[in-house]
Amino acid sequence: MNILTINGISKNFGSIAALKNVSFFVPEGSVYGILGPNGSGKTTLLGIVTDVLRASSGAYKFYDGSKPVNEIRKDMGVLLETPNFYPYLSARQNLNIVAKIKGCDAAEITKALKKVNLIERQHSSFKTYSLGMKQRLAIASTLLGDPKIVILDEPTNGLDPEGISEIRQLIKLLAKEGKTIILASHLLDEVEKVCTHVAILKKGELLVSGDIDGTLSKKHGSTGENLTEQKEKTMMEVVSDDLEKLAGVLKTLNGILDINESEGVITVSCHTDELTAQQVNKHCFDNGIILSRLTVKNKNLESKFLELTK
Amino acid sequence: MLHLLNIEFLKLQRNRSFLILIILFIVSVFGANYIVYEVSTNTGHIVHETSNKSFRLFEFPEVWQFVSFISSFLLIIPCFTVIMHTCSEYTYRTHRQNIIDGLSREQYITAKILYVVSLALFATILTVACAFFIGMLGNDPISFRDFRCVFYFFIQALTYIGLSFLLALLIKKAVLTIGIFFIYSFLIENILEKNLNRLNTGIENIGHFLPLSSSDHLLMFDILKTAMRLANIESYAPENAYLTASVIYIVLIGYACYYLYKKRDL
Repeated sequence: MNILTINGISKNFGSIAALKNVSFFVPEGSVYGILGPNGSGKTTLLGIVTDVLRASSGAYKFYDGSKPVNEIRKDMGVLLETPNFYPYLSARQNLNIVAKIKGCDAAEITKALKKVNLIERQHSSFKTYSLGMKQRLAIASTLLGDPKIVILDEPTNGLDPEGISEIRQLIKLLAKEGKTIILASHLLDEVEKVCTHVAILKKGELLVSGDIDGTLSKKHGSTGENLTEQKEKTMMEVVSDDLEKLAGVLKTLNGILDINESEGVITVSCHTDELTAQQVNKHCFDNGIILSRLTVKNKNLESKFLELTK
Repeated sequence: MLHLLNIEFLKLQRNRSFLILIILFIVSVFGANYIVYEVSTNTGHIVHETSNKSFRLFEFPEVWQFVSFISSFLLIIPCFTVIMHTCSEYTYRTHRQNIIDGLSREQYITAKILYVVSLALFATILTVACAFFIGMLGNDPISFRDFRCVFYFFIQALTYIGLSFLLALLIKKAVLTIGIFFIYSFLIENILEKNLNRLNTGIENIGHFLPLSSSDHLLMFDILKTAMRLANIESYAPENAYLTASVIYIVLIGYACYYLYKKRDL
């Protein structure tokens, strides 16, 4: 069953077309990544499905569309851009309003506050919170009432590395609980690490959508260019004591497509099925170079993303 | 309905500026009426003695008229609270959050309109209490003859607070809204009124039927009306005409708020 079906949605802000005829669907239980550079229409799209923006044309429905959308939103956790709370109210009072709107039990508030480690500061007013705490309260509000659908728009914005990894853990946990997650982001590895499905937007146009493996090898419709014809690429970062010599040696290796040196690291790209890390390591060793670092980066999503959004 | 009003109340319970303004309003209603009472009872004696005619303002039943008239000048204070509350929801983007959390747009605007009505009702109750209190200071027995003026006060409160809410929805910035509301209610409408009255439209005093003027004229107390008429300064349409116009404006304002919030991007 599809949780969300988006059908030909367009949105104009004055003369600017923020979304152009976007259609896709989100299957139940998926972690759906919406990717796109800044200003590609991700937030606009999420704003439309949460009813804070009116689509200029097109329609969307949750499930079969029979239930009023605001009733469905009560069973939905949404974090759009920044946390929006009443600054003069405490965390608990703010969540109390959310709980009243959603019609969920007051006991849920304590549970949610504990989950994000804000229970000790629950009675301080929201305006005294640090950015990270505000974001955590927004997540507590998102989790209130154990929603079936979770929509997160750039959830790691403004968080420190620890916070970012906590959010990733949380997304994985929520996915494991069987929730459907829609995640908008411009951070590719964020999406790559957690998503099962992806839609890529560029200047309001939907470039591809579908499950992540399929999408990345599928024919790319709008330009007719076939991505499977371009073999999958792998990037490797290599470092040794003598970078110049290393670069020279690497040039003699068959299958290397490109060599770049920057900031003391040599990055080589090659077709995935033609060259492995072992082969690179052996080649260097045979030529008298001992590598101090060899990292394989699967640049699949990123290279495809850049390709598509160029 | 009660559920929606309860949510509005939760938002306001710790809002310090709201609480301060409400306390200020309570103090002003009693204070302003008391001052006028003090002055008029002192000068009233003179009027009484010179014209040998009772100058009744603060006795039952005329007290309902006059206290409503005085209190109506203070309606600007609850208007400010509505403007501040509505605009702060825009500033903190909580109006979007409420929708995202599961209110429908209709419910959101209904909650706000209920808040406007409650505030108008609160102002009316306050006026009744004040009139009753001052009436009791006099010697005349309790009478509810002119109690309809309290209802007129409620109508005026709805018009003023409703209009300030509509402006806040449109303008979204508190300071700007307060400024525009102030200038409109004290300047623009008065200028328009005077100029419209001078036009030969076939309807006498058409300027009296501007949105705020119609309810202003509803609250004119008898002595003032008679004085103006006798001095040939102004004549007045029947109360029912002003009442009908005010009710039409209230319905229009309510509908405009509803329509605006339903159709637009938040």
